[in-house]
Amino acid sequence: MIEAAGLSKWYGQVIGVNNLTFTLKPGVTGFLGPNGAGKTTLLRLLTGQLRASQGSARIDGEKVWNNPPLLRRIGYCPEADAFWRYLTGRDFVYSMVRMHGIAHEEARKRAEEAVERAGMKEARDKRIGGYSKGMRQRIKIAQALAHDPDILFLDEPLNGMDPMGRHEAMSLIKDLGKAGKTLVVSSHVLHEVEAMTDTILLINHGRLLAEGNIYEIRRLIDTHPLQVSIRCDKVNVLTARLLEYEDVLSVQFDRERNQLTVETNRPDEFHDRLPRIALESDVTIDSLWSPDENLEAVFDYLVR
Amino acid sequence: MGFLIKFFIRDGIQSRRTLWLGILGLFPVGLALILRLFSSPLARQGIEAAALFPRIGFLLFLHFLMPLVAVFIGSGLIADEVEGRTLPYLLVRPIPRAVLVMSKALAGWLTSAVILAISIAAVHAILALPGGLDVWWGDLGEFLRILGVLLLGLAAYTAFFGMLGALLKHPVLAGLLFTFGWENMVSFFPGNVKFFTIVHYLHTLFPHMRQFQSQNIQTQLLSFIIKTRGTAPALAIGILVALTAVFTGGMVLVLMTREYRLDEV
Repeated sequence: MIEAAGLSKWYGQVIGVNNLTFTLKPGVTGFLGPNGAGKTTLLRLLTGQLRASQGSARIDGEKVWNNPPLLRRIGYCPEADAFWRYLTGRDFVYSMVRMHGIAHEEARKRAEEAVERAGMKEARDKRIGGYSKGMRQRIKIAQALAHDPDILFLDEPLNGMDPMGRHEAMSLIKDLGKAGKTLVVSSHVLHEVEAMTDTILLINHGRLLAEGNIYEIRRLIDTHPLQVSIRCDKVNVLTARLLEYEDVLSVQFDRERNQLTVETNRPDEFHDRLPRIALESDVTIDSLWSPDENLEAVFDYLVR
Repeated sequence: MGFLIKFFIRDGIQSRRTLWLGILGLFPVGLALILRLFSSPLARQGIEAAALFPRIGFLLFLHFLMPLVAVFIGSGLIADEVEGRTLPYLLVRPIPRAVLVMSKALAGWLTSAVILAISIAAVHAILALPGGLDVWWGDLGEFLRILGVLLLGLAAYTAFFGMLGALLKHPVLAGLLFTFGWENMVSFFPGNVKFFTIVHYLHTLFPHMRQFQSQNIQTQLLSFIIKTRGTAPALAIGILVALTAVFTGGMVLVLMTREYRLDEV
């Protein structure tokens, strides 16, 4: 069980997180909030990378800060797209497992399993520097779960993944939650969090706005238009197809970057429909994301 | 700790900085080759190429290559992980931060030591071997003593610059100012201020040191005015080891207390 009691972190005059109190049980919990909301700071406090300015973070009653043995039970996938890029995917995961004090043979076995589980078996012997963004996300997830931790903290794990990658990663996260592990997944995309769990903590400006079931928040958000950005190979074709639907309020496209931004007032239907349209129109979607300002607007709307 | 050290050595070898330092290590080797080519004119003036080795060791290695390698490798020990934003991967492993820092420092020292050792061994071989194996063998003791002094200095400097790297945003600049400003100037001052430099203790241990110092007329003059005592070799070794331990401890302390906001890097 993860507990935060009056947890606060400030950097000089800047407040990272402010007086957060909550308890997380096994299963998947989503930290939802726009960029700069304090999600990453909160995850870094819960993984012992930062010391709380006030209050405490505990796991099963043990303080997290300066407690290396407790870290054996924790897996962490950072948000930053940062690696030792000369390493192959397999070497990277293996090295991270070895740093948990696991012996060579066992570490190799676990790294293989994790790489396969994250869908990176084919690319495991390529250097990370040559990976696509989606592959880098997958290998980060692999290193987080390779040592078989009870508790996983995943900071924006689906960022930059293609639809198939997202689907696979979400299935993996849900499966781990069902297996009794405690997973904390941060995201600024409601749709993503909703697909993995119905338990969320809504965070903005370092404060906890709401905690618990997602449906009430979903009802409020549904009345507010959302933006979705897509990078694909046939921008014109996809734009034309998307505009056939009533819920698509506008589409802005940028041919040079092969990118379009869609505004929809029924995000659920939009996300369900998109893979089908792409398949029918033979469009390859490279990545899909919701701009941060989008959720910021929703939060402003919710707070009002 | 063994795996960590191997991991960090591999990381060090892969960095472009190490490659450049390795290339820089060829500079004294090139100079030695030039000296060897002009050995006949030198011999006519009564200078044996092999006899220049301690002078090269003093000027090019003790006062140039060794501190420079230490500045660049040492200052990157923690700073590189912060800049590369790979530090979180290390901080969430069940490794005490002290072990993390010591592994980094040891790996950095070993990498630098290999660069220096290859370079100075090549210089020694180029200068001594043409005189015959017995010349090379005869100078081996001196070579090993110089190498030992350099490795001892490297440990102290690497730990010091590692601490600067954990503390400061621009550690390389501060390191270069310290090395080529404070250390190079103050160590030759008469009086007791030189005791506050690292290089003073290395001078104490360096063979033929008195010979190099006596040629500086200003130093001789000032030494006449301000009398100072030297440092015994055993004490110098003790102080260098203690400085290495203190600076490594400082690096540990910084990593344990300082919080890096990686989003601002």
